[in-house]
Amino acid sequence: MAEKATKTENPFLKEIERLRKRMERGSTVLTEPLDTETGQTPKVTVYEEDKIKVYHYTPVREKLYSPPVVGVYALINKQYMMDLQPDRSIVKHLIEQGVDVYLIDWGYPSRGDRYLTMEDYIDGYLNNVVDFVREKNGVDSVTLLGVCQGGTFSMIYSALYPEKVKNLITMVSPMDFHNESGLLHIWAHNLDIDKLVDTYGNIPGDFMNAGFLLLNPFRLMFDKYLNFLENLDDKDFIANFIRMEKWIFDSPDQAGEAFRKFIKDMYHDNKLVKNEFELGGRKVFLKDITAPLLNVYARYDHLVPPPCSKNIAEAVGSKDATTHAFKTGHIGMFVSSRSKKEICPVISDWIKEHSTLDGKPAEKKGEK
Amino acid sequence: MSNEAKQEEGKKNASFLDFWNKNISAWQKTMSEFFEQGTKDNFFAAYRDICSDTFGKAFETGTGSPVFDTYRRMMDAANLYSNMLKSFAVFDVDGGAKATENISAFLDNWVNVQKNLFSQLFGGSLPAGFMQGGNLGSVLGSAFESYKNSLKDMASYYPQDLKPLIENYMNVLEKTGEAFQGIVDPSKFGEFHDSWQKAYDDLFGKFLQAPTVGPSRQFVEKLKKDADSFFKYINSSAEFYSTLYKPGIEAIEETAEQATELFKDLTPDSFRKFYDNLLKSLEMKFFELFKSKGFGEAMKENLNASLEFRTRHTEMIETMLKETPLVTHTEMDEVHEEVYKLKKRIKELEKTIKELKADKSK
Repeated sequence: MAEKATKTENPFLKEIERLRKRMERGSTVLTEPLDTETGQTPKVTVYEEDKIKVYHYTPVREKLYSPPVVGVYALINKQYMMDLQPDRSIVKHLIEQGVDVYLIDWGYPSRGDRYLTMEDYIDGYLNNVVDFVREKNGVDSVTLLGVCQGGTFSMIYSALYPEKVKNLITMVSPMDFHNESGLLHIWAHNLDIDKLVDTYGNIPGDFMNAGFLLLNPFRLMFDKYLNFLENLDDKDFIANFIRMEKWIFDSPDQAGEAFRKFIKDMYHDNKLVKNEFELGGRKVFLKDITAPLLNVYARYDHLVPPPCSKNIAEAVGSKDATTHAFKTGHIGMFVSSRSKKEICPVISDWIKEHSTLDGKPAEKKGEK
Repeated sequence: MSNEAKQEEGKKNASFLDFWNKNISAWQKTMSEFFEQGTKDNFFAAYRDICSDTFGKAFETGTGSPVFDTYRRMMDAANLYSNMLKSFAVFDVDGGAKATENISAFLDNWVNVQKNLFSQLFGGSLPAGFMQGGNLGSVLGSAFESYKNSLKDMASYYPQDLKPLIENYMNVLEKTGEAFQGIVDPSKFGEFHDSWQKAYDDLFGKFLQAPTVGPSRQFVEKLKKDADSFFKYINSSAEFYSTLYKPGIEAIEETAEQATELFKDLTPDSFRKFYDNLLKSLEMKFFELFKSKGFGEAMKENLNASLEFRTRHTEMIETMLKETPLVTHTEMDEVHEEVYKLKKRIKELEKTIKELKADKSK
């Protein structure tokens, strides 16, 4: 009896017992039905061209803000990061606020797409999508919401087609590519992009992923899975972990020619911020962006470090330009608790303030 | 790790070198016999046998084969997590006092397990002498000596023009052998691979890069370029991965030093703190490495070597595929490019038609 009492008081034994129970409950979590679906917010495919699709999210309010928002995600990884889990979804938040949301899915380029250029993506697909949404909704211009590389594309588009962009939102979007604070930027300088594209055609998604994992190998390839084990008995945690895992490794190949130009002109020569970037024979001047701008960046972003994105408001020609920095990382922008509590409301409030409802300008927050 | 276990591990790591040592000796013997006898038939028969023996063994899958060793290392990498847990095996958790007494044993064991793991993960291309503080010269000694002697003997049979080449190679070999004597500093990995590359470029590389003649010239040249790019890629990869060894070892040693203080008041939470310290240390050391100019250059070199190999290999395979009814990537890319241009043209025309129609309806 005395021996038993000693054993239960031993903190190591208690820890082992706790671990055993967790593993036992964890085995139940993993073997029972688990909802790991991503992108659950109801939507309809309204436009298709080659491999790209445009989703229109089913409104949940009768009256919608105008103009509609067109989400432009990066070519790297998939757009459902914006709707990864039901309780952490920017898309869901926006439609609940009465914002009309369209989102581009760039698809999965195959070898036949290796010749697609940045011109094809921006002057072609993106312009066609914007025209489609304008026509469908009977509006002259839309609100562009660009994310990461999609934000860079949106800046270029807004400079070239200012008449079609009512408002511009850039989230964790790189503009100034020359800085030494991010490993990706340092490594990209050493990348022989011509050799890479000429050899592979399209850049394999696995190649991109290997580079991302190498940014923080112990955290991303070891600690993350230890954390998984430590939370094995938490059903919600495991479901969301699986969702994130699915997203991380759902990496489309990159169309070779578009990738070549993006790396050369942005990472190597930093042409966009120097106003030297050209698309389809036209120079892109950031000062030509005159639409109201909301720039949102993450203070702890290791993929697009703050120096790359924090000065967008100063670089563009918009008179109405706002910048918000949040204490989170690149992915935390979309799935952290801060995202739901702070980031989503900032974006939806800004959209509402720069839109109309029932043909009338929306009230600004704090106005009577 | 006990002395017996260390010896056993050393033997396993040396098996790859033994394997090549034996093959070099056998090859040397065959060549000597040929030059002594001068019988062509015997040479080709012997040469066929030695090739069959060498490559047959290289690709067999039994214990002790080079392939098996590579597979074993891969499995060792997968055992990362379980190895960490094994480190905790020295604790008798049933008695807290005993556990405290075992702190020192735990740390020694942990450092050994982790160092060994890092050696296997990132220094797989290097002989055991580098990893365990031993003398590489003793591991490689016999192989080097016999190889040098054979080269000296054979040099007299080579044409006069080739003699400077052989001498140059022997000088490099001599320097490499000297560099190995007593080296325990992992930063010397780079020197080892540089020497290897130089030696390769000075001898075997020259043969592989030399022009070829005859009806099958085109294919043989592609074959040689493929082999040449493969050797360069292998050395480049080994050099690149060995850069990861030093910061790994430093982080382990640093964490072990901090742990002595941390484990004075032993609680289950001590292990969490210990792990957090290790992770922080690893992150810091590797971040410093990753942002260094040298790492960026090594990465570039390795990537370019892999791309070069892929290009050469594809060229050779596509040449072989010409004789089959299979279509190649290059051929398909021609079609893809045409389709891409046609689609683009059609889209432009459709847009023009739409605009014209709109103008007409105004």
